[in-house]
Amino acid sequence: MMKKNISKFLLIFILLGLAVGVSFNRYLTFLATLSAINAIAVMGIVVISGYTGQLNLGQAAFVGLGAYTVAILGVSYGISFWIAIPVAIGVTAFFGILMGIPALKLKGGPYLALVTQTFGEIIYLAIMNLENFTGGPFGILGIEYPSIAGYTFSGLREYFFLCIAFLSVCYFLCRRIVDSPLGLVFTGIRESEDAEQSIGINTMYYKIMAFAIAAILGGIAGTLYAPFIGYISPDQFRWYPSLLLVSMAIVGGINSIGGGILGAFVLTFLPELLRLTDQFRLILYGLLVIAMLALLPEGLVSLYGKSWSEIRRMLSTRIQALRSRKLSQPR
Amino acid sequence: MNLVYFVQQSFNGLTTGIIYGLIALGFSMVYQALGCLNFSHTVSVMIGALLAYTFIVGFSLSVWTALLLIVVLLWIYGWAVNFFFFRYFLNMSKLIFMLVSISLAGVLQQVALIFWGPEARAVPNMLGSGTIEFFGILVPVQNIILFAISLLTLAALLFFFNRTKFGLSMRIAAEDPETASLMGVNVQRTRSATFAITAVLGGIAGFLVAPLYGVTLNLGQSLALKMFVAAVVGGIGFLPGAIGAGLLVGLLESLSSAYISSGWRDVIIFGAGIAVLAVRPLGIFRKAVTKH
Repeated sequence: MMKKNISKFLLIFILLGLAVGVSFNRYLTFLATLSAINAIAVMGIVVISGYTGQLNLGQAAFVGLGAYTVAILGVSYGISFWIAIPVAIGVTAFFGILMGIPALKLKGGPYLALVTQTFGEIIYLAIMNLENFTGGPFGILGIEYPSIAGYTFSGLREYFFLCIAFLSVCYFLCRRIVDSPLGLVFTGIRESEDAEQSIGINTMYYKIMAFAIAAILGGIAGTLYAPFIGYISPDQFRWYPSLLLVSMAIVGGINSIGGGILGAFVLTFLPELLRLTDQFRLILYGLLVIAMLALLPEGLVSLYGKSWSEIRRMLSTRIQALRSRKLSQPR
Repeated sequence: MNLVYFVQQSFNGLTTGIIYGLIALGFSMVYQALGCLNFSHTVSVMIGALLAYTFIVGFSLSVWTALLLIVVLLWIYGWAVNFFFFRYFLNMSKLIFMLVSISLAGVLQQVALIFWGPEARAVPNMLGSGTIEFFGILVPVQNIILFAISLLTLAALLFFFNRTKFGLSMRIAAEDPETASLMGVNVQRTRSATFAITAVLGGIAGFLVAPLYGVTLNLGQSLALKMFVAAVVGGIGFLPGAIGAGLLVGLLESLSSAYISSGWRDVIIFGAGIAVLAVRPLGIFRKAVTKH
């Protein structure tokens, strides 16, 4: 039932997004496009961290790899966007596997956090240092909008529809993956890796596969991001955006793909809604995120399909739990 | 290979290394006591450095008064952060605590931006200038004093955890909070003391790092990942390991920028960190122990 709810939810959501896109507000269209791109990258985090239970603090690096692949191929070699996408998928899958390998032995927690975060930083530093190839700190300018059969997705609204199309395809594929036996293996790794190994499943293989899927989704987000912004520099893909993507996943609900998409939209729009408060904007934003984490640890998606009184009851038990001073701590 | 140059670079590396070690120690201590990763830890380094600038350059206080004030203020800061935020999240999932600390770091950095403004500041060479020569090796006096302060801090900490009643109760509360509380330890107090002590450690590190790196609002961020490498490679939650790995990180950093390339320096450090964890998943200084 949960599954059905979320897919219905998403449908409404995409429709709403389309409505925004069709409306004539360029600024909102811009934000909605950015949200859709973020949502694809967040989906990767949902697969690797939500379903497989492997923390990934380096997702933005894969977005960067995808963006740089498109930019370098397009600007330096004049290769079209549509050929660059499979190349970007190959590149990000390769690096995802590369990151998965040292992460295999680690039993979660701080060790995995470190490996994924430093791996992202290494990619950032490599982009920074390979100046002849990537433009170093100056980045790459003048990435062109993709075109197909003589039609260019040049306007903001056209590009928004393209991103929504990509988002829908990725959502569909992710749903297929997590609902398949493969998805069950992933959840099994999260719940108990030892139990899964004991029934003869090669968890190493599946973990690497999960890392690769997450990396590919990040890469696809990157390929859409580069032409959209038109200018990329290494700073856009450092560890802070990675952490932002993880908070999107958590705020929306890391255990469902719909939740991840919701989180991406909410946290992309929220700082803009708070723009009126000027210099207190980021302070308010941070405090709001903390409050959401405190009140809805399962994510915003846990509100869906509940009546007001149920929500009120849920929140009051939550507040009581926050007030209690139990000493036991999950290790 | 010039031996004098090598030794000199090594000593410079150890000087920054002990600072990384101090910061990593605080991070590791929170993990040991609470099993949580406190990503806002380096904010205390930034605050320490900013306060060092304000007290020494702004109010022209003496260096030692400034250090004392920093210790007191950072103690209050650490306590307050726990009181207003962290204590509510200790029983939740580790991922949520981590994200709370990350968001909090962003908030505090913005608050600091409002108070101090965005410009970078230089702190004068407050710990003494000039160099001392040992067997042809020039060592700046500043580095020696910096090393001495770090060692004194560590000695004080060692004394606190081994010889005082409250220190011992903090250790037992970290080991097993429920049993500790049955034995009369006020676990809420030891927890807030953990945050206060780690904030003070970060503040002292910030005070020490101010003349070396200059004071900017990004100071914490640029140190964060190296501190994290040191804490985890040393075996997170294993306190001597944090210092040892901090020294190794500093040494590797200084030697690789001296002999290989300063652009690729950090890649070497992070790559080495990942490689170490691939071979020894629990860090270099710790043996695998099962709890049961």
